[in-house]
Amino acid sequence: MSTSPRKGEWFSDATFERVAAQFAVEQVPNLWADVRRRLAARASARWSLRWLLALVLASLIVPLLPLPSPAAMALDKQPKPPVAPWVEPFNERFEPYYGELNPLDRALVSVRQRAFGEKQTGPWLGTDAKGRDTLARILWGSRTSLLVALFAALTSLTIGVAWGAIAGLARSRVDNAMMRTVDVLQSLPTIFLVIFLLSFLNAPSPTGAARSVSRETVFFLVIGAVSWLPMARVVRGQVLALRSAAFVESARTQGASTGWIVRAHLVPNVLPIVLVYLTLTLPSVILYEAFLSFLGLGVEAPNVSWGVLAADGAEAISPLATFWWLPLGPALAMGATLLALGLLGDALRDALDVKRSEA
Amino acid sequence: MSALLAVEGLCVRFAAREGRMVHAVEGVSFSIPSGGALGLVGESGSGKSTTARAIAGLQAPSEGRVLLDGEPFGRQSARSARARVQLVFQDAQGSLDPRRPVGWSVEEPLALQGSGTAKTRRARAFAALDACGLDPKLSLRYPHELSGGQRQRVAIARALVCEPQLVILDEPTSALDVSVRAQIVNLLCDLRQRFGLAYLFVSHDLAVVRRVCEEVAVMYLGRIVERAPRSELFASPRHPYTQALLAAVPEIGRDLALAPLALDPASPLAPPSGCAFHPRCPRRSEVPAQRCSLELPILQTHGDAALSCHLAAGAVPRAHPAAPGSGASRG
Repeated sequence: MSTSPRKGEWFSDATFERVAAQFAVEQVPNLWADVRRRLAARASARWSLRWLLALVLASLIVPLLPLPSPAAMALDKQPKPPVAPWVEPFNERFEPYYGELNPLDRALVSVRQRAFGEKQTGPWLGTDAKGRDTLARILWGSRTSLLVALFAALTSLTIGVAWGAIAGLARSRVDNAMMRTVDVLQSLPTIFLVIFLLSFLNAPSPTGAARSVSRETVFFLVIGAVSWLPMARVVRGQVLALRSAAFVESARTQGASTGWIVRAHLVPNVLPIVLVYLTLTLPSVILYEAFLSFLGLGVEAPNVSWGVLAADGAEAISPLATFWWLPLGPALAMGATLLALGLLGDALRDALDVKRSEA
Repeated sequence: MSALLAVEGLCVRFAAREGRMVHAVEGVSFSIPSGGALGLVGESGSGKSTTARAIAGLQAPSEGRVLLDGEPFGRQSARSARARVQLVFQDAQGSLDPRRPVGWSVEEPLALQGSGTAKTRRARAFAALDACGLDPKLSLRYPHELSGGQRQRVAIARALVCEPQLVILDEPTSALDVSVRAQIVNLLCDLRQRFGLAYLFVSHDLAVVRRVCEEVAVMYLGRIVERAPRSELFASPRHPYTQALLAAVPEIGRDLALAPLALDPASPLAPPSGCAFHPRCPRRSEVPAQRCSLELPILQTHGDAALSCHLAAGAVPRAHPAAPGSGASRG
């Protein structure tokens, strides 16, 4: 047989040239292009994404829309039922009272006033007992829910993923300390914590000056402390399993650094699970916000959230009259959002699974 | 010495519960010449895979050293040195990243070496796949889309792409169908001839080892009990354990003459005293004075073979009557 080829030239013979010429143009498949294609192929995923994007967009530009102010009251003493858009599309009774607004929103509102003047939509979803427009309040309230979701997503993705990855990669003692911290935080009874913090922080100080830590701040602190915990667990489990996988060991025998292992192997293998888990975390956090607001522990008036609206609506139900439009609007908005997140997570799970290449 | 790989007194011990130690590998020494092939055989738990992992640098040895061309080799070695030793795992599915096209996995060692541009790396990966009998088009597929044999070919291509001198094959054919196994074994023989590779071939499949390797070492409970050239070992095995292993290979047209080994191998947590094989050894009664259970036999070299057994020629004549106390005192 032939003598063995010289070093560095094993594969640089005719085979090399032929094969290279033949295949140099071919593209290595891109995981994310595949994922997009598979997501787009699923109707439920398309509609979920559309709903979520529309909601995000609406909550961002809600001060620009020709809606009534969510805070402007009309003392009718009786909630007004919805009026169909084709019966009363618009009216000219806009009242520019918004309570406290941040500068950006104030600027947006003034743009709205210049563009639409006194024009505003009719009470398409009715009004509450103080004459405030339900549709406007639902849209303004969506900001709270989405902000909470965004905050939880950020803490999960930064603290949760980093914590879990470090614990999974670290030696047993560090791992132990980190995961016991997670256990301790997870075992905190958060409702009591919120109540305690609120009553403690908002109690008047002996000097008489009110210690003003807003409920929102407390709320976000608690969400921030709790929402990343499950993510840290999930990521740690994945990293532990991957760390001893043969393909990681095989890279290690080649002198791969931990940085390479993380970039080349851990991220592509953990990211899909993180994304899917995120779509599970967000609904639970949105629900949690609504639940606390429903109990009166969430956002403070004049801010609104879906939980506050649902609580108002539930209070308005009496034996004499059921103002069904009050709880129905926020409940439907929240239900649709949670459903969209769930369907999207399901579709994402399937789309990210390379083994189900053609679904 | 002109040995490519020299393993000297390699020990790997793991801490077990209650402060006990698992002696997975105890004092294993051997060498492989450049272009040679050594088969490492033994039952499950005999420490052959741990030996392979320790040589590849996946497991820090507790004692002993591994020399590659006379230079110490291990996890601290430079990447360029590590590229000269490649490892192929039994589980080809697990040794390829499920979320990467297999072409990427074949390129990875080159990328880690930082050799060439992306384009030349791709071309070399294609050529390596081609050398392993795979259509380079398959490099765009994911591991789960390939058959077991194709995956193992990809794993071999991945090992070859850096042009190593030594390939450690850890049960490379055990997870494959018989027909595919034959193809892979032929491929391994061809590649060795073509590229002048040296193999450390870890397997429990004696037929495959016989086909690939010129020299065979038999391990039992972390120690090498017999080492001999292929022809010698398969024709006239000398250690009772080797004899039992060979007798246990089923063959068409032959009744299993010897009964299979009676007991399971002892735990490396509590290895038997003396010769670790003595509780199962069918011939221990031929050695007088319970020497087997008291004294650890030493691996003694005879020419190009080595044996670790009290039955070894000259040590104790076979027909010698029992002489109490004669040989036991040394242990």
